[in-house]
Amino acid sequence: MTQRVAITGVGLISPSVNSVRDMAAAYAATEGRYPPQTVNDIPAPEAAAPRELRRMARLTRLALYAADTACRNAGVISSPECGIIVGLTHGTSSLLKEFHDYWFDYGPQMASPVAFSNGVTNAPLGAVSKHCGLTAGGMTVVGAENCGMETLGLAARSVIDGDYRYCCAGGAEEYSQLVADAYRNIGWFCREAPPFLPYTGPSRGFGLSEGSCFFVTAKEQDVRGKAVFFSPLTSLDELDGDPDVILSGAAGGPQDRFEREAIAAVLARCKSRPHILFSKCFFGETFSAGALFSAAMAWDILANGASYPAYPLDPDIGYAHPAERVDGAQSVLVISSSRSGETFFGLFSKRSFG
Amino acid sequence: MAHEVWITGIGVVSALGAGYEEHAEALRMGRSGLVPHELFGGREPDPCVCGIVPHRCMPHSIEESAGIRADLLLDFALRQALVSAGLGAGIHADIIAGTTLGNMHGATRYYSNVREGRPADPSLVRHFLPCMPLAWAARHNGIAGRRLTVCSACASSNAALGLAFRRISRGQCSRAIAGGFDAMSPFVAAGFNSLRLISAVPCKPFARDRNGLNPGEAAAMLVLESKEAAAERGARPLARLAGYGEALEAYHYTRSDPRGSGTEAALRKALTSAGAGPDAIGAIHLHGTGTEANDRSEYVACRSVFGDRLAFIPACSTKSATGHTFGAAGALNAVLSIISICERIIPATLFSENIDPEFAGLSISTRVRETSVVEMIASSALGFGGEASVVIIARAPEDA
Repeated sequence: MTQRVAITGVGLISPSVNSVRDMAAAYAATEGRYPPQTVNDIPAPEAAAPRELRRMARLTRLALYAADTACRNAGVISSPECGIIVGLTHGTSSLLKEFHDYWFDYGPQMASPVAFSNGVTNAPLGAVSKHCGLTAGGMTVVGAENCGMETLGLAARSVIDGDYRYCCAGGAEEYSQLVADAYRNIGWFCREAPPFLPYTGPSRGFGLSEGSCFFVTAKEQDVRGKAVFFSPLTSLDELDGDPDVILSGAAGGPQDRFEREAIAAVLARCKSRPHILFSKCFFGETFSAGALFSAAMAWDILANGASYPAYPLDPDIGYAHPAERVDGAQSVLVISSSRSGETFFGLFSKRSFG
Repeated sequence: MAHEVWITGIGVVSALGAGYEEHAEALRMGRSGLVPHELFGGREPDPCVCGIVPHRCMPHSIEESAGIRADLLLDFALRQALVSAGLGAGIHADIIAGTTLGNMHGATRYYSNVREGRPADPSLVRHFLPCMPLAWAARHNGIAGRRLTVCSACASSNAALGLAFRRISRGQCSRAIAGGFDAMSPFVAAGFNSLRLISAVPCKPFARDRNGLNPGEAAAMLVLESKEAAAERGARPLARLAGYGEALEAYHYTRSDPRGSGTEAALRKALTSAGAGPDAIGAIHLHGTGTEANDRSEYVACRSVFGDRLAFIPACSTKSATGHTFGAAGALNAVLSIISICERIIPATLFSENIDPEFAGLSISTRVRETSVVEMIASSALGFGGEASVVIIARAPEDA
C-alpha cells in the first residue's frame, strides 16, 4: 500500500492571491489571461523584525511569508521536531546581481556583506528556521520545474521514516529580469499577449512569474478527523483507482511534451474520465514553486470542496474533456515534469471520518 | 532492519592533488596545497591564499574554465569513484551531490556581459541553475537513477551523504554515489571577504591568532552500497558510513551559535544513528574553518558531548591543507577521514602551533600523528543558515 502523510498546514503567496481561501475565485476570474509577474506587496509575517525583512532577498521574503503561514496553520512554531526542506530553481538572482553591481562598480573590497549573506542559496531555509524556530534539520534542494514535487516527496519520506515528526516543505521563486532575459534569449519565454493556456495551440514559451508555496506534513496517525493526505508515487503502478482530477504543470515551456506524455500514461490506465486542470495558467511559471501551487489547488479541492474551471484542450492531446467545473472530487493527481523529462507524481486524497 | 552502508569507492580532487594516494601522501607529509593566487586582477584582496586544484589535475585556468569548472571537477571525481569501486559507466544508482553555487563563476561572467551591453551567451542560462553540473556529469558517465542536488551551504555534501546513507540503510536503494563539489570563483572569495572572514595568510584553525578562512575548491564523491549489494558483486569496503545527524540552529544567517547548539544536536543524532555512544569515537575531523565563531561553536559542542574524555580524542582540521571547499567540504572531510582510518594517521592541523587556550581539553593534532586502530571518526560540516551536520565514518569490517 502506498504510504502517505497528512497535510496540516498550507501557505502561499503569488501575484494574484496570498491565501488558499481566495484562490478558486481568483483563478476563475482570470479566465486564462496572461498571469501577472510580480507580487505588489509582500505581507510581513507575524512578529517579523522590519529591519531583517528589509535586508532579505525578495525570494526569502516570499518563502518566509508562505512558510510562516503554513507553520501557523499547523501549529508548529518553535518546534524542535519540525524539519525544513526548501526547493529552489534560480535562487536569489536579484540580490546576487546587487552584490555583483557593488563589486564591479567599486571593487571587490566594497561588495555588500548583506547582499552576500542574504543571497546565498539556502538563505530562505535559514530565515524560515530562525523566524519559525524550527531546528530538527533540513536541506535546500535545487532543481528545475519538478523541484517542488520532489521537495514535497522528500518531506513526506522524512516524516514517514521518522527523521522529523513534522516537515515544513516548499518552494519559492522570485521574478528577476536577468533570469527572464536569459530565457528570452533561448526562446522559452512567452512574448505574446493573452490568452495563456497550455495545449490550446503550438507551444509559445512560458509566462514567468514569482511566488512561494509551503506545506507542513505530519504522520497520518497524528491527525484526527477530516484531513487531506499526500502520497509521493514512485511509479504510476502505485495509483490505486482513478483520480478524479489531474493537475498538470504544463506551462507552454519545454516540459510540456513530457507533461503530455504523463497525462496520456495516466489516462490510459483510467476507467473513468478525470478532469484535467492547469495551475500555471493562473500562477505562471514559477519553477520550484510551480508543482506546489498545483498541490495547493489539490488541497483546496479536497479540503474546501473548491471548484475550479477546466478549460477546453487542444484535440491533439487526444482527450477532449468538456470545459466545466470540478465538484466533489475525492482524489487529485499532480503531475510535474522537468525540462529534461524527469516526471514526478503526487497523489492527494481525503479522509472525512474519524 | 537497517542495512550496513559500505563505502566501496572514492573519487577526490582538491588542492592536495587527485585520488586516494596523492591525498594520503599529502596527509602523511603534512603538506598544504594553499597558494597565493590573483582572483581579482591584482586588486585587493589579491593575492588570495587559496586551495586551487593543481594544474596537472586540472589543465584549465580558473578564468578559462569559468562556466564549466564545477562540471569538470565533479566529472573527474565521479569517474574516479566509479573506477575505484570497480564499477563501469552505465550503472543504475542514486546520485546525490552537494554544492553551494554550482558554476557561479559563469554566472558572474553573465552578469558582467549583461552590464556591459555585450551579447550574453544564451548557454550561460545554465549557470543560474546549480543542479546542472550534476545532471551533466551523470549523463556524461552514463549513470541512470535518481539525481538530486543539495544546496545546504557548507554543509551541502554532508547532507548529500546523509540522504544517501538513510536511503541505503532503509533499503530504499542499494547503491548511491554521493558527495559534493565546488569550483573556485571570485564571487565566493569576494563574498567571504565582504564578511571579513578571509585570511590573508594560510588559515590557523583553533589557533589563538586565527583570523579567517582560505577559499578552496574540490570535488569528492563516494560510492555507497548496502553490504548485501556490495558483497553480491564481490566489492570490498574501504570503510563504512555508520551514522548521520543534522540540526538547524535558528540563531543567525552566517554566524555559528556560540553555544554550539546545532553541532551538538547533530553529533548526538549521528551517534544515535550509528548505534554508538561518545566512547566509540576514536578521532574527530572538525569543520575547523579558522574563523572565530565556527571554531568556538564546534569546541563547545564537542565539550558538551564528550566531556572530559575530549582531551583523549585526537582532533584535527584539514582546512589549512585544502582551503575551505564549501559545498565539497563535508565529503572531502569524509574522504580524508577514510584515509585517516586506513593509513592509521591523524592529519596535522597545519599552521596552528599556538592553540587558543580557550579550547582547553581539545586535543588538536598540530603534527601528523601515527595512531593505532581507529574504529570511528566523527566528521562535521557547518553552513550558513545555521545548518550543522555530522557523519560517522567507521573502519571496514575485518571479515569483509
